[in-house]
Amino acid sequence: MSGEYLEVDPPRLLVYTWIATWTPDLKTTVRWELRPQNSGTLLKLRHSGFAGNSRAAQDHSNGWQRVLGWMQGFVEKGDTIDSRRPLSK
Amino acid sequence: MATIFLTPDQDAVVSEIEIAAPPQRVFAALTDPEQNKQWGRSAAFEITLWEMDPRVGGAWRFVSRESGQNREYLHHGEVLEFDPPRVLAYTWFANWHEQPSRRTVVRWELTASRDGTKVKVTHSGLAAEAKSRQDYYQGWPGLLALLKKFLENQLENPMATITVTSAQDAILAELFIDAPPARVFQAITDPAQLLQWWGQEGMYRTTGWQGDLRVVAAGAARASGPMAARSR
Repeated sequence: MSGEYLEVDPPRLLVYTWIATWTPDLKTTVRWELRPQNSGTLLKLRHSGFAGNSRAAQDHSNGWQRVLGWMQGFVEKGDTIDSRRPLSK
Repeated sequence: MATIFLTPDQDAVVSEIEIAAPPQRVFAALTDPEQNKQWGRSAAFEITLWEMDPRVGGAWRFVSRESGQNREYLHHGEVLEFDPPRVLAYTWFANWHEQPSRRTVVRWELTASRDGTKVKVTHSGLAAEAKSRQDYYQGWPGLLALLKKFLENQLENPMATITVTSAQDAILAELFIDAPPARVFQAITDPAQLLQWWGQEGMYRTTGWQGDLRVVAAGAARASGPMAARSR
């Protein structure tokens, strides 16, 4: 996948275009908004531009569920791909 | 454990279980191909293919195989109801039924409960399928137990709330992270850190990540493995 940064404002905003090699016609935008909350962060992510393509939207929403879980495990506990145990078994 | 009963007219088997996960998570596990492949397999069965076009009228199919055997069990049908996170129903045809062209229906009902979700699955249209009805009577409780185990293990990590807008244009996710914004920002922009966490062994792995944190500078990532195949 590839894209371009549209807005970079550390540490509260990051926006980039997102083009997956397997759906080159779907040019979407990912927006990460980080707000301080208590001693942590309230993350609001918006991935837009699916233009009614419900299959791609559903696929990506399942993907984000995993990705955000990995990211959370990494920043909170230092979990990495290598240290995480496989989901199944 | 799951309960199971046969309706008096012998047409349907009904199985229920309580799962400590919100209905949204259960619904995702029932409709996401990757998750279905993970929770639906057991020591005795592997799932070699699982697909669903997640909308009313959409097609779904899955293929399973008994471990060590060559025979493939083909299941397919059409989505009849798709109402996340409450109801999912589809027709269910199987090549191993006494009458493979006979239409049976599987309907999932999810009800929010105090500790999570009450999951009820009703498999109907089995009145004339005496043999497979018996198989389902024995099989559904075990399958629900696998679903429960999968979801409850996964919930060791708090999950993001994710919704798709009704126009199917955007995905919205919200998540509280117990670390300051600067730390999160670093994790999502530093290529060396992204390589450490973005991926899952056995699913796909990020093999390269280039980013130049200037506006309208190109950034690129490459993933290898079945992610591309999965999303086609």
